[in-house]
Amino acid sequence: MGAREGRHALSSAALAPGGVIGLVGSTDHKRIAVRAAVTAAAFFAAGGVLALVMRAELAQPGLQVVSTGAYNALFTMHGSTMIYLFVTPFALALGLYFVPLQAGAPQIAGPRWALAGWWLYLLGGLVMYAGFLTRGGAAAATWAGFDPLSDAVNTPGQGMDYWIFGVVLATAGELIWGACLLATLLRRRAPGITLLRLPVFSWAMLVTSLMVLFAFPVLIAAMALLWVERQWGGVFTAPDGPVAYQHLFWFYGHPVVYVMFFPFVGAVAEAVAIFSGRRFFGYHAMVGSLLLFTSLSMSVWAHHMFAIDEVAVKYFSLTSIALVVPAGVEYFDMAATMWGGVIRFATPMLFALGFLIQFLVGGLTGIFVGSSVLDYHVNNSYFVVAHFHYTLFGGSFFGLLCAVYLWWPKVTGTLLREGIGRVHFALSVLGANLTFFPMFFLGRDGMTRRVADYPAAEHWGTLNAVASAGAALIALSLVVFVVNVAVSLARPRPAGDDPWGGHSLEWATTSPPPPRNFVALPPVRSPDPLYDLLERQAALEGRP
Amino acid sequence: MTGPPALAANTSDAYADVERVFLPVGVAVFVLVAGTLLLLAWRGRRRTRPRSRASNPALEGAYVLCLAVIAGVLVAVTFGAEDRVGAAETGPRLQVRAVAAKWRWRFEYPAQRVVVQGTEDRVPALVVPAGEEVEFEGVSLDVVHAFWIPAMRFQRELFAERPTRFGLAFPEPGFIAGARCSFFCGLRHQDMRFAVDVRTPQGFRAWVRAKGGTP
Repeated sequence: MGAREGRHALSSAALAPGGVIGLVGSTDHKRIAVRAAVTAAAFFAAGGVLALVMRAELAQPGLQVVSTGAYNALFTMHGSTMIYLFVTPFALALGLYFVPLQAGAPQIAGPRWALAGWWLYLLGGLVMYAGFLTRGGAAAATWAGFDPLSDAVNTPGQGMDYWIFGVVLATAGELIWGACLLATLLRRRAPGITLLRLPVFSWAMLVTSLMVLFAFPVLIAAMALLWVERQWGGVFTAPDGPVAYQHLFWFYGHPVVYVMFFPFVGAVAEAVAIFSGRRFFGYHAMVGSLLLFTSLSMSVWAHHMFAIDEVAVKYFSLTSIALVVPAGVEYFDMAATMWGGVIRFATPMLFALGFLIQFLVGGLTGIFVGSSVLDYHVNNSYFVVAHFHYTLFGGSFFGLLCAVYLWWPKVTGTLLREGIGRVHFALSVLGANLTFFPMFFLGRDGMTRRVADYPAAEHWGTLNAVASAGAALIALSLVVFVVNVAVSLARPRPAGDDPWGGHSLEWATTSPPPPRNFVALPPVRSPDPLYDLLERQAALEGRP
Repeated sequence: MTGPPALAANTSDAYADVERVFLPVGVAVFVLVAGTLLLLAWRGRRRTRPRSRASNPALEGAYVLCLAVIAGVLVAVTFGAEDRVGAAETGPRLQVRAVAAKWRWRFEYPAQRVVVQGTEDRVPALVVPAGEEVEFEGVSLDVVHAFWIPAMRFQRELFAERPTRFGLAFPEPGFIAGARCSFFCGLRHQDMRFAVDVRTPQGFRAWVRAKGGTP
């Protein structure tokens, strides 16, 4: 295998500056990606603490922990953090690291742009959080910043302006990453790697980049308009102005859900294939379903607006329910990959299964709220909170942990501990379901989202206490993960190039890869070049 | 489904009809898919050689058709119920203006010349007659609010200077608690509640007279 000889030849100090300059200024796509992921993890910790304070407040009726005003800032910043500063940038960071590797490229397209993207994102996050230091406190007008609640009359104070700048900066950075990823996938693939020889994860990043490029500029435009509205007014002041803002926002707000989802679907698909010991089943159907999903993602946004009179309700119900088809294909392919596979229950596979089963709850309830008549009831209720936490926490976050456990050996060269990983997984499953399942009942029973308090007479105390206990378990599971990371870094166990028996090119180079990624590439004739090599070797040795 | 409904705007019946289809389908799909995934994973533990087939276009095509049929049924059920929700019948009937403002409700009965005013600390009651359609015009005086009666399975967003019209029919007399603003509207959003007091038509007229209006 040519790729595994002389692999250190190109790792030179010039390509990998050290020290502070290297830390903040290296343009190696892998270092940008690690930086972005670490930044996102820090914001995740902050947003998670906000959520824990919220769950402490909601554990019983009455106001015990924070004031109503503070609570409004908590949920606004929790949602804003998780969407703008954690899941989206982390999803794209996975692409920044692994897309060039899977495409057999030595570097990402536009490395300086990608570096600038990290700077913009970091700055945006810091500016958003600086809102806590202003006199009126941080933004408190929801992660969507609905006008006219977010205008200068209803939300005076600089915290809201900081939020707008933060969203614009972070989103601009993420937009640049989307462009870099798309350019890499279209123009930087190694010879022989046609589009239909890209691994499923790279295809997921390709459609993700498309959605980023279509949807994110609309959010930046909406934020610019909102800022003008706050300064001078006159933008959303017509009777239909607030509806227009919602259209602009959700035109971004729905595709971003898939931006926060598909990279993890891709990672889970890789894990399922690797830990089933066979090729991903139905590759072409999967690619087709990703593309269909992408086109539908741009045409379902107003299902967030069913409760508004005069929205084209039937059209958006139709497109939303039609999502059953591509989603069903993806589940079919995952199941068919395991069918007849040699299954290994390593930690990445456990999180992949957790992702598939928990996202199923989120996806099916998504079809539920996609039906206009059902949405007239559960919209804005805890049912919706439960639904999107099943997609984003039960789904995306489990997929994210699958990706972390799968690729940690590649990025660090060391193995995470399997035993601690299993404990982490068990606690995560327990915590996620205890926290979010009761919310379906609370919402259907009439509890609105975004409230710090609820009347004791409604008898929602028990279910809320269960949800809060679940949140504590989630926190505990993350402590276990931090312990796993600390133990594995303190007493490293070398991973080798390919600890799992991977199929795609990132496993053909060292762990971590050298600055230019590869010394030589194996021939690529399919999405699974390393699996091809194994098969050929087996054939040469006369094994079946 | 149970034939044409007695009241065009009985939203809780429309909701129940759709949920009756969606919930069992959802639970069945969950059990089937999750069960299949777990079974396949479990059975694959002991296998020593993986199967090599990596695609089956005919099977996948048939499966996509099945999915499309399921989606089609769900869409048809939704569309059928959608036509019954909020559909306004013509003819004279009670008109109520629901006025939302931070953070209180006001219900105006223009023909009867009656106004019910709530405050942030006193929950107002929307008084309506049972068994007949009530035509609402909802407006906000400031930010976006939403009129939600969980027991009626119905909500609508209310905007300033952009009236939202909808019809509701309350089948039986009774007191409905737990109605509230569902669209986040700022500091005291959680306190913006109202109740619905559904009376018999005679009881409603008596209430209007007691409030000094003209029934």
